[in-house]
Amino acid sequence: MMLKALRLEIVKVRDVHWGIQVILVILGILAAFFVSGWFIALSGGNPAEAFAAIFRGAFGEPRKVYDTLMRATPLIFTGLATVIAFRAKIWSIGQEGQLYAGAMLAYTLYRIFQPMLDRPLLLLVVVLGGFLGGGLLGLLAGWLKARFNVDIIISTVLLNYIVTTMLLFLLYDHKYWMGAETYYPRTDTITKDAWFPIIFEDARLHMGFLIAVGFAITVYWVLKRTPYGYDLRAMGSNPVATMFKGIDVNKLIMVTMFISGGLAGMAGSGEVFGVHHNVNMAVSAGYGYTGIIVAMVSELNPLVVILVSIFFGAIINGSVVMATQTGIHTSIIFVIQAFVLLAILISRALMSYRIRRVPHAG
Amino acid sequence: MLDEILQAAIIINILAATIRISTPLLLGAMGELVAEHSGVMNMGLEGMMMFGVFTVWLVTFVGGTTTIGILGAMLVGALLGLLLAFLVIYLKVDQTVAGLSINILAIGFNEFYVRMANASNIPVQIELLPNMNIPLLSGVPIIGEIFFQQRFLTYLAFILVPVIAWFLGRTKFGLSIRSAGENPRAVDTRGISVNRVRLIATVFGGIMAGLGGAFLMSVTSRYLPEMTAGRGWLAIIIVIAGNWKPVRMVIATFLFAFLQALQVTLTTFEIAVPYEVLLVMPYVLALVALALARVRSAQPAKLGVPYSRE
Repeated sequence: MMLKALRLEIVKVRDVHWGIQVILVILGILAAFFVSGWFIALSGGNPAEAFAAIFRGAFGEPRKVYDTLMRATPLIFTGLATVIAFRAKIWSIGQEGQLYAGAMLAYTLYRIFQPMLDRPLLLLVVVLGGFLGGGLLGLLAGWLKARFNVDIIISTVLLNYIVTTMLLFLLYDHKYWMGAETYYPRTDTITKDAWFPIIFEDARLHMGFLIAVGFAITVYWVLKRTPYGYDLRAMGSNPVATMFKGIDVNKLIMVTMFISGGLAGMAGSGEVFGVHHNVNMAVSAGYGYTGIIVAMVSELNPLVVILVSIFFGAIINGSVVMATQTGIHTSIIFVIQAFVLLAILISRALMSYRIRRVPHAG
Repeated sequence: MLDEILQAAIIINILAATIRISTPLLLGAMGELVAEHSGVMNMGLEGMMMFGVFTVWLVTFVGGTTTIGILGAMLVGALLGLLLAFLVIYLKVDQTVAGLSINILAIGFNEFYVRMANASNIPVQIELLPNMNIPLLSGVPIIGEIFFQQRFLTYLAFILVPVIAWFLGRTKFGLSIRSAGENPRAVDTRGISVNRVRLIATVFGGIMAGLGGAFLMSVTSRYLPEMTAGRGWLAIIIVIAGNWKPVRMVIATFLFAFLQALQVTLTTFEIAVPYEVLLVMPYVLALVALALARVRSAQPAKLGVPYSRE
């Protein structure tokens, strides 16, 4: 209304230079940190001190850098899981449940095969189990969409609840998974022959990180160079045209949900066999949801996902030092993440508009 | 004899709990119905409910009363509705993405406040919403115990069903809302701003979601993680399964609420069914209901489509 009086109007901009995009994303993140800082101040902390502590905690010494990369690992997986689904405009938010499904199938296979397989084979089984567990859960949501037209976003949410409740059931009973040596809802410690190998001496960074980076490159290549990737992107940009081109949309949805779920499941097996070495209800610290933020900040680019995951991994890792040094609770990172997402979303949306003078007014 | 009395008491207990548990589902679903009729799919309902939950907690934490907390939750719901409207109506962000963002925003704040609540040494006692017994009716045996010894918000939720149905079907503004979702151009040619109608409907949906969340917090004294436990999503499913028709939505609500009431009531008894199985039933039912709800005849034609004049 006001703009009209000033003879201005808002128009859509088609192409935005990538440099401007990068600058806007960085500005968005800065704005998010500014608001988060204000939030920290409101809850009685010193924002500058808190952010400095996060940085020291994340990058202060080589071992902390390795820990940061370790925290980034599940985010790369769940981020990639989101990228591949969102590229096709399949709005899956089942990454959290798929992560647990991956962890659960991997652990089941570990219990079956641990006595009979050597370490390399056992590791292979566990890794594949993670992919398969998450993948099958993703496939279920895809099938429900293809067969019954159940919205993916809703079915994946419901499946998240169903899977985590199932895990609760298994972990709270000594008859099933609850460890003999524990009264907490968690399994016994996994035998060392199934632990993911460590990359550097004396650090916790495990081979999952390398697998994650490998997958990021693979997903990038698949999206860019293969017929499947082409169909996927086509569906994302114009679903109706895709249908007319003779592409089997239902099959595409199911395959995509299987791969997306599988990637999220890999995060689960990585956390269980690389970090926790048991299954418990806190295997994921909200990695499924953070993965969605990672993917959206990365503009759904698989390679950028690696960098953004390291950024968020650094915040997660650094928050531990922040908590001990400043007394601010580590869960403040969830607030920071949420603000980053919102800032990115708004700056992206604003990016596609521009104010200009009305050409022929009056 | 004694056994029979006990059984009857349990059944009455379950049915009264069904009515109570229906409250947040119904509040959320009726708000969603109005928003969807205007053409805006509020996928952030779950998140808005979470905001409602911790607004009540936060208000109590800083020394306010539950009533102020409930009003605060409505205000926060309205602001979130405004945020969603800004994103989807004016910036034309994909409605799913925008709703998703509000959910993630809520998950972030919720995690923070839950842990803050656990970490703080002073336990916050939230003053519970009192039961409001309806004179005469509450004295009727069985029926009175089930329906008329509930909280104020429960009565409000059920009264709002016919009120909203009447409002959408019979009033001028209600018709504008429905046209905005069916044929926005027609609304525009009548000189009414489609965007403004949608904005108001979305904000109303936000207020109802905030209220639903506030109810959850005002009937339990402790702030627990996952207090909403997917109720926002169930509310969205209720709209779909009820085919956008208020009466059918109430039936769907009762179904979900009954299963949750079973879980709440039966876990205090020694029964053969594991607690987790009871816990998971509403979600399984929701999946089945969605798979079977193939009739979407009353779905607004322009649901999820942003309006622009060109």
